[in-house]
Amino acid sequence: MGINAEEREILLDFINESNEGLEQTELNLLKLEESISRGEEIDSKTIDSIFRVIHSIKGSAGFLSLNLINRITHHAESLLDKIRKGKIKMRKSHIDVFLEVCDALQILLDHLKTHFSEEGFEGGSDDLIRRLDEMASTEVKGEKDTSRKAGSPPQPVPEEMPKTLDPNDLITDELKKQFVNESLELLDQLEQDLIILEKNPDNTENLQSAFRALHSIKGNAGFLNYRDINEIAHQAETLFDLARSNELVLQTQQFSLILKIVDFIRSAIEGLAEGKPPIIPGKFGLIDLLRGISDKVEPQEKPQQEKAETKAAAKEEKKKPEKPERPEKPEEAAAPKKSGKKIGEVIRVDVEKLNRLMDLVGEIVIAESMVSHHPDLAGMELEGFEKAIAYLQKNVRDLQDLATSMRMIPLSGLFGKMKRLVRDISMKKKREVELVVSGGETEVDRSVIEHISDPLVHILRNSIDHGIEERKERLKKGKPAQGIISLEAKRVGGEIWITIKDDGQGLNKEKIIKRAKEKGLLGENEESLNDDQIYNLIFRPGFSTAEKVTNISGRGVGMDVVKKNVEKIRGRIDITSEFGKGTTINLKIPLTTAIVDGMLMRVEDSLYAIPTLDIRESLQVHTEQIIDLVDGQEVVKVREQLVPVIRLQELHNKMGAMRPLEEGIVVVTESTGKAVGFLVDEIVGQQQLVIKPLPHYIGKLHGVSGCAVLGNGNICLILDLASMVKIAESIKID
Amino acid sequence: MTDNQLTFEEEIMDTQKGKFLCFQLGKEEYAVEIRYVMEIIGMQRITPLPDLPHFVKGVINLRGKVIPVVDVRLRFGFQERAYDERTCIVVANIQETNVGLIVDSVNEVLDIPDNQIDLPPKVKKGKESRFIQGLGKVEEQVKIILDMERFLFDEELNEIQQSVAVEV
Repeated sequence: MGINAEEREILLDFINESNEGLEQTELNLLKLEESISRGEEIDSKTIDSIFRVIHSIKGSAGFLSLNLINRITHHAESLLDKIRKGKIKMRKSHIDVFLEVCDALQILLDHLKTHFSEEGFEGGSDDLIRRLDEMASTEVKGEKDTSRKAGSPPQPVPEEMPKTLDPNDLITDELKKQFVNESLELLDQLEQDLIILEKNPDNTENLQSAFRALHSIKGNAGFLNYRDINEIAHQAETLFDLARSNELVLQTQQFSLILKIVDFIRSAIEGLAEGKPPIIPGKFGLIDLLRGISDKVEPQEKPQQEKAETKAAAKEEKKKPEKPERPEKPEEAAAPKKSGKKIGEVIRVDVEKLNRLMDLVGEIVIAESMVSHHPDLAGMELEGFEKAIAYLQKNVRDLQDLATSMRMIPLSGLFGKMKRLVRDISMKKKREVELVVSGGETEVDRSVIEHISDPLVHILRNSIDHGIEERKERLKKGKPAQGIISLEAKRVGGEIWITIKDDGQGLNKEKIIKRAKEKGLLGENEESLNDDQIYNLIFRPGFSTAEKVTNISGRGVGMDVVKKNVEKIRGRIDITSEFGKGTTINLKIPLTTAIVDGMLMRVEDSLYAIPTLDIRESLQVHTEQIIDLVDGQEVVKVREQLVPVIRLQELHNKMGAMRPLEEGIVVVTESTGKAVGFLVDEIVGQQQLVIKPLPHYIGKLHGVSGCAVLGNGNICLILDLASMVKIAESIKID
Repeated sequence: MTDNQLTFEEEIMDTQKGKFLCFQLGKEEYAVEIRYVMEIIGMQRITPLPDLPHFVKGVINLRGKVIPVVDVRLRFGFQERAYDERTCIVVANIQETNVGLIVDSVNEVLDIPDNQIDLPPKVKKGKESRFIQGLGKVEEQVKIILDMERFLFDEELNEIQQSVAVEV
């Protein structure tokens, strides 16, 4: 946001310092609380240290003109001062209020961290301040313990709490976002576990993991006072708690129910992200269903008691659904903290930071080679120096590998979700379908995953909806009863290819043409179409029909949207089909940022790279292998195969002095089943390359899918073999 | 705080306003608004790319970023000239795109007040005159002020981009 760097620095310092102080203060407060409840003497040193923290926050806030923080701390300080001087005796209600102060400050600090100003902060603090004042003033008058103990202060305070700290005020967007992200991840994890458990209910590892996921969600939801999510997660957690302690064996059919409940939680959380209240419709029904499962085994123990509790809570909820109570703080707050430690092995990092790290690491690589190859060192005997440089080089390489790997995510997570999807749809549609997944370990940039998720969902849904036939029909056709959809990912050159293939009924050309005509999608001159063109009609806007709107997910996306989404990330989609036998859809997604193992080649003074996987062989050709076609296209005969040879100079239209084929090396590549050879002057070596897209200004180029910066600062071009094949073919046709 | 910051930004605008970076192209002196200029670097190794308009010489590696470079001479349709030790690349940032401009040499940063800038004369419009935003008078000399948006994003280049995209 708009603020200059210096002020930002000061603010960040302030935030960090205050956060540390508040953490310490919280611990101190809890310590005090303990001694109060034990009836011990209160340690004046602890109070002093709390006072100091609050005082210094107040001072800095005043200096930074953070009025709200300044006001809160000021009032808290006054009360503390009176306690410190012995004018007021510290009691439990004070601790509560001070803890609230800490919470309020922390939330404000979080807000500051993102907005760099108190502006736009919506939490209310007036009530908190009023209560601080009340405590400071009422208690200074009367020192009589008894009257207060029985009387007003302790009781009004908790009652007011929901109002002051109405969580809806205090939950910042940041907190909410965090909760949504974290929970969605947990739900994904949970789903994976459930799918495994469905087949293998005794897998303790997955039981544990499912339990942990639910527990975290429950805790977080409780902390943020999302009642519905909290209660349902709690009930589901109970179930897994029983299962993992072997008191209950979950049945296969029960997993459907649990998965459904996961969906309810998910949609509530997703709704939350869109600003809707996190309400789960039919919550009580769901809770009863869950309880039904757990009650079967353990009717006599705590469930009963819990039932009463939840029912009571439920009643309250019905009365005032809009004003949820604040949950008991200490208990609920403890939950996320505990679980936070368990999942603490992963932290969230801003992608922008990762990108910057990547750039910086690139700089370090270049700087390292500038040092180690510095001309001033030439001719010197520097044994110690060489050793030191070797050590540096090794570490820099490791650093580079690590940094590049951080942006990459395997597709397996996404594919796991698809398993769940296929399972649900096939059950709903009463089709027997098996999803065979391969290539899940293929890593892609995280942005790619975001963009291909929706298209994949839709394609798979279509496959089951319109592709796979019903059991009877399949058997009649002599197909196995269970339909098979395969989902495969692989890296081909600078692209990720995702293939979705089903063995269903395939596309019906006549039907497609008929529908396209009905919808007025066929132009006058489009009477004679080849198969490809016919299949591609389904990607036209307006082709998809209304029946999809009523579909399971209700997204109502047509194939045209799928295509648009894929094209947004410069991907391509194509479809082939054989009537009666199945349909194959191919997504070809370029890697925006990715590492590829590439072979570096030099042609004159330009460097090119080809993904190592696509290289079949490299060879020196002999005169008798060369065949010159009439049009000047050169072809070499490699064993029995004729391979067209492309001179990379042709790309640049630099004809210049052409060396005869025999003098260079021909690198034979294979992509999409077609072989193309490239004539190069030298093979420089194999290297891990970070693919960078070409500058936007230049746009898309023929034959080049991206570029990479090498260790010495040079740029090499990464060849796009798929379009190279096209170039080679087009030359032949000419 | 917002008040401070407004003035802060205004300040930057203020200090940059009316300032131009002047560079040499043959005998003439040209100028670009300083707000576009990120930095000036010496000649670098340029990696040529296929399929580009002739004035886009290729890409350079600027501290890990790959940015395109345009030869200003070629863009204006002037004679190409061998690069020497005075040849510079002016790294400009327009529409959030970094582009390097190859110029014969960089001269100085000058103040040219608005009232000293004339519109380009409307005689005999050559194709390349559309890149000229105005003529700045400084003492006895005239600096040709470039219209950076047109210079870099003119339809000519768009067409090329589109034709490439369509074919693929």
